[in-house]
Amino acid sequence: MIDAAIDGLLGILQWKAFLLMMVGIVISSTLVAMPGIGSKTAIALLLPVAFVLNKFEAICLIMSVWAVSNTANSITSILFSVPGGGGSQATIMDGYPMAKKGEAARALAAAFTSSAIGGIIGAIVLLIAIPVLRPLVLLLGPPEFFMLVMVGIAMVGALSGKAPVKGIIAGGIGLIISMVGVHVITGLHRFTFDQIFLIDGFKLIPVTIGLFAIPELIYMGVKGTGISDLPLGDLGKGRKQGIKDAFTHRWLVFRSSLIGVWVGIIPGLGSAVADWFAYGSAKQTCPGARETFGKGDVRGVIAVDSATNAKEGGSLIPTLAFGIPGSSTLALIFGGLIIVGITPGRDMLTKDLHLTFSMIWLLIIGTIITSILCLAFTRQLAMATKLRPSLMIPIILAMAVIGSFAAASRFEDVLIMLAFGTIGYFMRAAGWPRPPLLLGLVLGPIAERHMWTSVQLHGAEFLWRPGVLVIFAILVVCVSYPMWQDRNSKLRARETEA
Amino acid sequence: MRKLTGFTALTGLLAGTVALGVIDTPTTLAQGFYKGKTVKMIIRSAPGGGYDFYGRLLARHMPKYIPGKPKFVVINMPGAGGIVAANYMANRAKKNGTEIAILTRELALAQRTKAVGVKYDLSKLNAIGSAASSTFMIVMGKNQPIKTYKQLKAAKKTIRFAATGPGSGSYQYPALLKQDGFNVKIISGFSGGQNRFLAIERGDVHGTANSYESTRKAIQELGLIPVAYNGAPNAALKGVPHMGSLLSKQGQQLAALLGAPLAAGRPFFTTGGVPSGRLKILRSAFKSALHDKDLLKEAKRAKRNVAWTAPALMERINGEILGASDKVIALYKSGAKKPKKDISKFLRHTGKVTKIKRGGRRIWISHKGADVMAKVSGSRTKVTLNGKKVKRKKIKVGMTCKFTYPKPGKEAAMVDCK
Repeated sequence: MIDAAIDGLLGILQWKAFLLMMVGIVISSTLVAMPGIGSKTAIALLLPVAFVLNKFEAICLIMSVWAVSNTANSITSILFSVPGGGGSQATIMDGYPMAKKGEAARALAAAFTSSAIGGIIGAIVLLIAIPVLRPLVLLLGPPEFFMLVMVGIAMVGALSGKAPVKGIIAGGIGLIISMVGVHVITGLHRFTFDQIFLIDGFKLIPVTIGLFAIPELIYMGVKGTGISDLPLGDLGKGRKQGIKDAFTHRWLVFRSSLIGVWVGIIPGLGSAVADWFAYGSAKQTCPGARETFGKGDVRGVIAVDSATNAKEGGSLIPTLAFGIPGSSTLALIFGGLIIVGITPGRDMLTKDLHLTFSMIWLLIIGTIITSILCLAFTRQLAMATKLRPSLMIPIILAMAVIGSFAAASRFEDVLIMLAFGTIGYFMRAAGWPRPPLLLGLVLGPIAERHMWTSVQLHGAEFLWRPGVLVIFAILVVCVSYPMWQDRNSKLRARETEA
Repeated sequence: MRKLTGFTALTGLLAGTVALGVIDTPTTLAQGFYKGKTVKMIIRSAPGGGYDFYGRLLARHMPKYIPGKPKFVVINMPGAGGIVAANYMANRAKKNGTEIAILTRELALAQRTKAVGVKYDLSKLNAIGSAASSTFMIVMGKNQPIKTYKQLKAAKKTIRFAATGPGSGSYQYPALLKQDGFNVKIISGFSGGQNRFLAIERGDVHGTANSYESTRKAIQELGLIPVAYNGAPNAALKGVPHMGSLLSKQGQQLAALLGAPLAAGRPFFTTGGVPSGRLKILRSAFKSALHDKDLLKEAKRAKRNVAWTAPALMERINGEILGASDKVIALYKSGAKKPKKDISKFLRHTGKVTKIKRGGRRIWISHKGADVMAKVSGSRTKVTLNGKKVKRKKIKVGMTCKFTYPKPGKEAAMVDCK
């Protein structure tokens, strides 16, 4: 195993392979950071190049684009409230308020640093899991997946802040929206009104851009000031503080990374869920988070970014063990790697173990390099928040339109983005929490599918499987712990008053 | 002299006409057309996956076989299982031979079954050829009792098949077996082939239906056993029987309908109305590209099969599907939908209502001297009073009702009262 680890490291440190990794990182940090342009598009464009490369070079070029895409994704989320990709929606929650407070540099630095640490933790977990990969994946069937998704749905409570009823309603609306399109299990068209663009349902990116970016644009236009009307302060100091924050809250980073890995193992969940899970869990467990989260608390940024990067390590687990891609991007990557003779599955854990190690090394080295690169440009990026609205609004609007369109090349998605922009504006104005709506949209179909399959397989008895009961116990703890904490703090407050 | 001039002019005119006739055949005219032009390659799905692979592969290798070497640009146009791209080709694409598309292989079936959103007529698009043929098969897990197609047909215990959802081959093939009397249960909701293989490995299901190309590796690694196939014969499946071999005549017709598109698994089309010369150039460039050494090498490295299907054969297959009888199409449609509960074997008990509980959710009747109870669902049980559909709370003690249910104490499918 040690030989394989050394071979893997040496493989990606060859000058050509390393250079290709740098190319991948630059492409990922510039192109993929643009809203709507995911790593999938970049990888599809790079695949033909892979034909002429050797195994290590192909891994370096193709996988580096994917491995670091979640790091630079946070830039537009923090600066403009426009999510750079599926995994950076929750970054908006605290990242953007920090930018508004003039702390853009700190938020960016914290995001990049926690991304690097999260990426490393994800890779280490993958490393530890190698001997038990196959039994680990076999342990989880549709019933266990269903219950895991339920844990995610329980997060709605945490994400609703002080308006739980509004949160539950928003989550319900999200669930209804998720039903639009062809029902994967029965093939029925639900709420499509014979409109062809509704057959594929609502895509996450246009909805998120609409809900979060458009209301901010309207507010910015009305206020007539840039994103931040406060002085930026010492940007170098902000950056240092951000890096320090990630280390100060190391337990949060660790916890969130484990959540990320866990979400990664479950095929089909993806970054779009990992960020909300981590954010919700941080909000429930960090002291005082209920008051400060959503108003520019750096812990909100740290939790999200460490989870989305750690997720990548986790999603390699089912891919390497069984050849089941943890996400559609991984399916594309391994489709490409087959061209150079790398086939996911059992071989990756036996005779091709050195290649698996090269991927683990790549996750570690790639995220560190990307974070350092991004940190170097933090000052310049943070300046963007001081641009005047007459410049800022057209830029962000253009990004919003391109991002919505680019996700699936459909003009209708731009209209959907604008419609959700209007909904988002009114939700924001009336104090309705927006994240539960997104969570409903993402988790609805997954929960429905796993429940359907579980019932067909085991009837109602699927609820009594040991794995399901264990996860249910975790769910109960997740829901009741913050309530118990809340009650305790209230009691304590009363005692001190008395 | 004047006569001679006239004669010369006439001869010149004739010669010119003949010469122009030689040069100006549709093909020769088209020779210069593509120079400096950009050809769009529309792909019916998002980046990644088989259609995208073949679309990009041909976009890379076709230009060198087209006179004028036009530039190819690839545009992914996913949506509605490929219907969006087909609609675009039929209604909005330029009809001058500068737009080519790799469309979904189920296009003709979608048109024949009048799927929602279809706004194209396949017979009006020009086929260019298909880049690969495909084989579908039924595979079983290694640790379960069924090892052959015959055993599957004779199975007394219900055999569970993992499927994605109706409309997909993984659902349609077990549905076809079920219609033909095989003791099969479909467990749907699994996303992608690999998750279905994992369900087999976990022991949740016995088998699944999948394309050979996507199952090859699982056969080697997980020891899956192919028991029957449909579509193009494959040398690697020697000794595996064709699905039709143990099916009824109607089942064979349906298997043929499902198998027809597999012969042209990666179909390429251009729009209607393309001048014949340009169409000829595109078709021959497509054929030549598929025999190109570099293309074959790339396909081999990606472990993708390449097999050219002539446009004429594609048109014949599509014609067969579009002309399929309503009976077979009705069968196909019933296989694509989740079947309704079969109530033909349910018990039918009639008697006076003796007791009602929970607002009509539980109803008791006296049948052959004993009280029997049926659960009544608000949505799944059809409740009628004197032949008219009513809510369950309208049923009162003393009415005479007929239960249609699996057995006493279970949920009724129908409750007819007088």
